[in-house]
Amino acid sequence: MSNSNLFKGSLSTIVLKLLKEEGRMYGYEITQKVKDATKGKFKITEGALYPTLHKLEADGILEVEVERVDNRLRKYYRLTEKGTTETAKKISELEEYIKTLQEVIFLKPKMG
Amino acid sequence: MKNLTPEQIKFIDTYLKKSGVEFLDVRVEMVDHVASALEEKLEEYSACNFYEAFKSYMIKNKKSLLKSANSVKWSVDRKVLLSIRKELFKIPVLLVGGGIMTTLVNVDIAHLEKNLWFQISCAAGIFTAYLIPVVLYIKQKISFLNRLSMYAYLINYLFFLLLSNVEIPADWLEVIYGLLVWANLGILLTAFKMSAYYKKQFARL
Repeated sequence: MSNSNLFKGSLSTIVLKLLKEEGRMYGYEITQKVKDATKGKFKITEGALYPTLHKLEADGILEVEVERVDNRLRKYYRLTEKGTTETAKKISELEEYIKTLQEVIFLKPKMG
Repeated sequence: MKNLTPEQIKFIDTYLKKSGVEFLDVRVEMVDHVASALEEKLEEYSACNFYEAFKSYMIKNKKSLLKSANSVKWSVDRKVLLSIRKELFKIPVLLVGGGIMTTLVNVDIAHLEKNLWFQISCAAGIFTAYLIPVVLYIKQKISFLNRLSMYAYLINYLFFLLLSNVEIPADWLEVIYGLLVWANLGILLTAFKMSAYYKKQFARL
């Protein structure tokens, strides 16, 4: 995407929404899911994704499970009870924001 | 999907460790991320070998990976402070802390040698900070426990500075010592709880 700043502001909401749908996910899986869903328009870098995941974990919104997969350890993230409530709130806020933005951007000039 | 061998995983781990990703909990996640990306690439381009794929990946993504590893400090600090706060306000901790403070008031500690309390203060900090890796039983560095040790030192050092530089009225001295014990109680419980948590998580390594 040409303006990554627009994307950065919504990254935590996108991550929370994915976790709400998938149950649990690991870092690389999240990056691929976003890339596939947006046909490559949005690409999440490691430098943006992991600080977001760690912050959400520190805030008690996500919890971590570590499992051995294919000769290595893998950290899976899932929503906590607090996280489920927070996700619904954040999605609702984002929807409201997009709606307001559309009203402003596509404002029709008054006739007469 | 072509899985990487244990030797190839070890190679990625060693490379990241030498690049400055010192904490095991952070490195584990980075290793999995790089390995997943390489497996996908090797699946897509069967003519490509592991080392070529690794070199090409690192040229493109190393900066972003290291940025991610370095930024973990801020969220870990937040997690440490929130964990200590959570322990401090648990009923048993408040009761034990309150009990110790009441005892200190009754023994009239103002008459005791002040230096003794400096030593107790320092010993508590050092004990708390060194206890953490001992409890963990593994020789690896864990970001949370490392930062917790730092906060254990810092909190005790602030108490030490207060006690050694400010002339505190006798009535307040008991309160300060009570707070010192209470703070260390919270740190100790956090250390034990989180050491057990990380030990369980990384025992599979």
